[in-house]
Amino acid sequence: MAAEKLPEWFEKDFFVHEKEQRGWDELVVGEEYETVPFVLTEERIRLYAEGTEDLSPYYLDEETARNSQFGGLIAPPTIVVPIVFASTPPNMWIKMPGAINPGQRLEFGVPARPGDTIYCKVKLIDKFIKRNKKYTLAQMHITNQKGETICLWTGGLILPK
Amino acid sequence: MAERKLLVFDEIPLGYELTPQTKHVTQEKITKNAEASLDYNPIHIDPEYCKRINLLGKGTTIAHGMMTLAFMGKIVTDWVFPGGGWLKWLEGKFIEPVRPGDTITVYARVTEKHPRPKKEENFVVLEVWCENQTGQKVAVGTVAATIPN
Repeated sequence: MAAEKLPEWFEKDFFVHEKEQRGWDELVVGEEYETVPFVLTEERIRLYAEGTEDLSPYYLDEETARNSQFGGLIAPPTIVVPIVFASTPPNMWIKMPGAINPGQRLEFGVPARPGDTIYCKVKLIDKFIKRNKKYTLAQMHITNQKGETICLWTGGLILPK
Repeated sequence: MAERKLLVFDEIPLGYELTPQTKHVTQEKITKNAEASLDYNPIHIDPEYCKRINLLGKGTTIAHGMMTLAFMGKIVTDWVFPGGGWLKWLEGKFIEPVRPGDTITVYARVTEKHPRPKKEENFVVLEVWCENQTGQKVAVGTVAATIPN
């Protein structure tokens, strides 16, 4: 399998785009974000499995996965995290330094698999203030190259600005 | 390969508790998870920044909430994947930060059973929560799993 290719705009240093990031006051409910497709590699699955200490054979061992209900290797359910961070622009609020994660909900369709080309549709569905904190709520519809839903992710962050 | 023992929906009792799983969290592991998940927010990887802004009143880095959520998923997938099941949903609220040095124990208990006309759509819901080394709950949530047999 070819090596992973992160989008050109991907930036590890979240401070680089901090000044371009719009704060909570400027976000408009209903707005959608430009994303780029992401090709999921076995290498990313292995890195992610190691990073979350979940070395399940269904993610890493071809034979066990082939003889299971999955019929082949799958990615861990929360692989959608690196997929969304790879796919979304560096000036989006999900990459805002200081943003805090209050909780998330992931509903799953088919599993992501190595070699999948994955698409994300990301929309701001709510923003609110609670206990003096500024919350966002997004819905992320994550699909594969066949148009099948991998995950419907509903969640947001508490923004520092 | 070990012989697989499929889970049977009708045989899963309400209140069934999975074996708790414990994870020790260090800065090294948090940084590794940042690289794995491509979430390089400085609140996770930059101790100087966290000290400067006095993050969440203690000024330390914190672990990714999504790493905790992954732990909450793992306790259930370790049970249902070898048993022939699928994950249906995973949700969690992160109520206290997880910091380097913390030891997190994940607990899960079957609280709901949802029979369906098509047995391959039968699913169970588990209450899942995480406690730190002092017994304080740091995350709570639910995980649903389809048990098709």
